[in-house]
Amino acid sequence: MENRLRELREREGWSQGELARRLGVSRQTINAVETDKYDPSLPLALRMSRLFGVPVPDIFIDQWEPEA
Amino acid sequence: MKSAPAQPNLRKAALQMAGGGVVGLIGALSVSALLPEIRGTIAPGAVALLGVGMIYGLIGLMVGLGLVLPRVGVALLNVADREDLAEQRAVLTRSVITCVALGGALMLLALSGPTGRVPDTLAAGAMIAAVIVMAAVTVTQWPLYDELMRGVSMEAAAAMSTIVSVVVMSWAMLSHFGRTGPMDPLGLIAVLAGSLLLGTFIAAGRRGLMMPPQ
Repeated sequence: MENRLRELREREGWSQGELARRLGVSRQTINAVETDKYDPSLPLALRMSRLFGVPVPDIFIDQWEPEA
Repeated sequence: MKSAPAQPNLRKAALQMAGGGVVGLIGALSVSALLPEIRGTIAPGAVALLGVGMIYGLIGLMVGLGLVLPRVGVALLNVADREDLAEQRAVLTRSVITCVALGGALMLLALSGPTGRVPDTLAAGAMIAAVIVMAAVTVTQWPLYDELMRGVSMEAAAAMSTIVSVVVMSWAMLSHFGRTGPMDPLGLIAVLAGSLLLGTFIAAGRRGLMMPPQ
């Protein structure tokens, strides 16, 4: 799933390692999310949302639309 | 707005590929060098097991070298910098122990048996020790994993299961039809150990863990 994690992280001036430390995950997890190789769990997505102060749908971009 | 994709570190990717190539080459050359010595004394499955054991051993030694020499580790391993390497040390050290123990045991097992040069008791002891080490590492490593690594571990197990099913069922079917011989015991162990390695590579590759940090 496309996401704005890298943009949000760089806006704060954090490295992947620094963001990983703040979220309590490995640097590899941050790299995998930023490169669209891994969709984080709901708890981790909520932690990202709280850390950056933006709603989850503003971090992760889902193209799905409900049927009319 | 989505940020522009970061560029992968191509120099590091090339270094890692070269490192992998060297490991593969050393493994292939080592097995080739041993073949004249052991030809006719061990079963074909044992040759495969010897190769798989060497790959495990060489991977373990390469990662171990990266831990002992951080400068080499930063260049060869999937870490961003020395700080990242230090944070990954506990997990990587356990991986080294597992790879060296399993690789060594597989090689000893391949060279044992009725016509082998390694005593059966030594090979059996090494295999039992390797299994105990693997179990202990799995149990102690799990709490150190975050959600990505736990997911990768489970995907690796699933991939291994699929590979083993395809290989063993195909082999058994062909053997049933008389198209090939029965699978020898060491060949079966080679398939299991090799599939674990392949499954891990597949799962890690899918999550971008085979590429350097961006």
